[in-house]
Amino acid sequence: MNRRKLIKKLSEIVMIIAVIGAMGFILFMTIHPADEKTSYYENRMLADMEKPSQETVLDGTYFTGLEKYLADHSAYREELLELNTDADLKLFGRPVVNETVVGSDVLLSYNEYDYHGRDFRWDCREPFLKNLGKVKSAADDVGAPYYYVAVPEQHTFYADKFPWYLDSWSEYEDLEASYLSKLLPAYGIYFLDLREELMNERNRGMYSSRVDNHFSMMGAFRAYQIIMEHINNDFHEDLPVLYDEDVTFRRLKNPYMGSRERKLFNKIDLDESLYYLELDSEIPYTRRDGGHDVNPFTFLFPDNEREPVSYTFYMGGDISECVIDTDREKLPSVLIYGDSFTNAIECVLYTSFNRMYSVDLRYYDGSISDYIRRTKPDYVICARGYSTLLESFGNGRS
Amino acid sequence: MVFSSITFLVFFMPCLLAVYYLVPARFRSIRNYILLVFSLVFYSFGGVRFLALLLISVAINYVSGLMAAKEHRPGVRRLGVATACVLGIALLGWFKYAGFFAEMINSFGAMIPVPEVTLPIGISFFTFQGLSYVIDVYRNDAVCQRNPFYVGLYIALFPQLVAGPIVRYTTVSGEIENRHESVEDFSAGLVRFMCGLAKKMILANSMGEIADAVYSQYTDMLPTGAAWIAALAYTFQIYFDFSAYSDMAIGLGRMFGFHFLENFNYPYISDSITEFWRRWHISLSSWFRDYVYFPLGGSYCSTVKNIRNLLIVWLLTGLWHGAAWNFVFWGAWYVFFLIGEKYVWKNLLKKSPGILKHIYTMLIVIVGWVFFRSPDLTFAGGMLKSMAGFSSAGDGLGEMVFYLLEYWPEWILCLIAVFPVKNVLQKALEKRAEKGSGGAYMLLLWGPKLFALLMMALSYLKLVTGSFNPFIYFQF
Repeated sequence: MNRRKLIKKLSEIVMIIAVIGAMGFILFMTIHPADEKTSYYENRMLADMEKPSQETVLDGTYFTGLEKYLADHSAYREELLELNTDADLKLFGRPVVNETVVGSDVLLSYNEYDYHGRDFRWDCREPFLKNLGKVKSAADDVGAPYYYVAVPEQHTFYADKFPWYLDSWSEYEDLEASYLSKLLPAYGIYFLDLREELMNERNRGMYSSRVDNHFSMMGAFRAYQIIMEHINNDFHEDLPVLYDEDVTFRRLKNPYMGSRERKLFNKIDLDESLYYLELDSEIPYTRRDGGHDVNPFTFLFPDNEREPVSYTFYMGGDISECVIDTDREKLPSVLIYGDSFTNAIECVLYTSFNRMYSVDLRYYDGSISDYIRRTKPDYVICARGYSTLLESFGNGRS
Repeated sequence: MVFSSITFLVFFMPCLLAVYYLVPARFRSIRNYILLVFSLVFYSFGGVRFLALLLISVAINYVSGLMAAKEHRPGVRRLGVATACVLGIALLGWFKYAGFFAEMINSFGAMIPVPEVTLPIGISFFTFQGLSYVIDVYRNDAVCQRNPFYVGLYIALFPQLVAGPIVRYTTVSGEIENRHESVEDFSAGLVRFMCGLAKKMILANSMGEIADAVYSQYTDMLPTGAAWIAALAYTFQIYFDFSAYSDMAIGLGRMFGFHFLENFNYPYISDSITEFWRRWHISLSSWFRDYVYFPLGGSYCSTVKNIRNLLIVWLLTGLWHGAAWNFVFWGAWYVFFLIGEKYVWKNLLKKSPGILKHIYTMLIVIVGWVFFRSPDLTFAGGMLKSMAGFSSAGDGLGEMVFYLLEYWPEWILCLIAVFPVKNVLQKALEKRAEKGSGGAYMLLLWGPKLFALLMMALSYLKLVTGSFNPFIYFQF
């Protein structure tokens, strides 16, 4: 065989061995995965291997689930995700990486172009309105005023930081606010637009995280004050409200990874810290999570200063149901339910009430209307971020 | 199961290769049965209940093929063809078009129940493939296959089972019984497969993300820029998605000693719609040409009849792609231009500068894809209205800029990959190699292989990091 034919044959054999070898290696590494059940950086559970059943095998859904499981547990998945993120950030310079708008001093959410701002679809809001009506009815049954609180998200505070070609959703939020401010009073619901209040304040630059969707402790504290001031004004109450002179803000020394930094595998670290409050006058309380007594806490301090923290520092994260009792019978009780924006507010809200019930319907199995009728709070507050304000799922359920 | 999945790449293929190549080549029939079994397993991943339908289709075509064999009387032979056509089309008609026709009848005031039937994957492909076998046997273009398993292997062979190309029996009949797997073919097949996989994972999927993001909106408020970027993205997506699948099918076939015909020939360099359809989905257009157009008389008839024949073929082509009016309209869109190029502006087109011809062709193709991708004609109308600048939602410049900046590497690669760059490079290197250039020869040898290995690595990266992974043509 002449030299060229030999080299040709060799190249073909090398090709075959390389590909088959790579397939075999990936096969081996995939069927012997590390025992990972969650993806920290994606903040989710990895797919489980489903058990086949006659039905799922017949209709093919078992195999679809199998592929999802294999994709989630494939060899070197996390390493490749990190590599891909690095390439997108540094090599290709994409403006949006892993759903995060990469700015010089802020990491923002990528808001899809969904044209809600141009054509607000009123008809698809019916399920939301129906649910709202049921919760209001339950609140009426126990004689509790119902506050629906719209919480501005990070993209509202940093709307001017978006590149001109990306959507900050401010038009849509204007429509949402206008819609709810006309509709909710007609239902007898108190609509509190924190966006309007917080965005007009001098200190608004301190109210939101630069690396996470949520507001900062300063923002949450101000939100708490606004809510309490409205309750006191609307109902001629004299409930205690904490102000700056009543607390001390402390910086948590632990490294903080916001949700956006986490999505980017911490490739961009904007060196932001979490803050917590120390009350000048401590108010003793007990805490029950899901009906079980727990060591009372509102800030979940890590074991040491090196341990990374996230937004779950506030109240321990999203808990399906939590009750804080301060044993001050003269004060009323409050039920606050909503998305994780409520967590930081709750760290200080309990100080103004005898008992604070906290529910997150994304994790709570029951109906909030039934919960209201059972616990009979004196005030009902629903606090949701602007991006889910009109949705009937999650904390929009009844 | 799709080729671009962990299940296929890491489990199915290694298992099949191991079992297949463990059997010595002289046991051809055993190797064929292994291929058949794995092909049926491959199809079962879409749902075991659909396997029965595939087997029924194989049985219909096998029996009809026996009847159509040349040793029988003409009446029996015609009956065989008729049986295959009626039963095959009936199966396809029920699973794919029953709901569409019921709704159409109801639009005239009837109240018949609209059946909700799940479309089995690949039914349009394997139905046409089976029909072509029986018709070719009847025409004496092919010898009747007595072994039912080999008919099953021909129809169900996994590389082309669910998304083509539509392989003619005459192309593979000899190779079913008497093929020679070689290191050269296996290696070339791997290269082709890996390049196809990368085309799908890197190019098609990225463009698909753009198209899907815009097509999920309401068209009545779609800005012009967004409509255009979605139309362009989809134009790339469908080409790279479908041609990638054909590349992978051809590559896989070659790994097992089969040599399928090409299905795409750089259609986006065409200078006319006529030329476009000689380069796009060649196996489908040639199927309609050989089994519908020519039997109707083709172009060897009067102008009126020829126009009629073209109309029938293209309305059927549209309908083959989907049971909806926008697909029928898509077929009608093309037949209008095909007739126009043949009878009205043929000379004008011939005399026009190349760049103008190309722009003319691509505009028609892009608009055609808008009909194809839209869920219905109303949506398509809204998209086109926005593209024409009559959107009340503004220019959408921001959105356009975003998608260009976000996907700039993919846009550049798409623009390069629509041209026959590989062919030009290959020819240039071959010329130099013939003249004795060792470097050119080594580049010819190793270049494609190293490129394919790089593509494999990038494809695995994309596979692991992405989740958007449907093949477009699976709905057919």
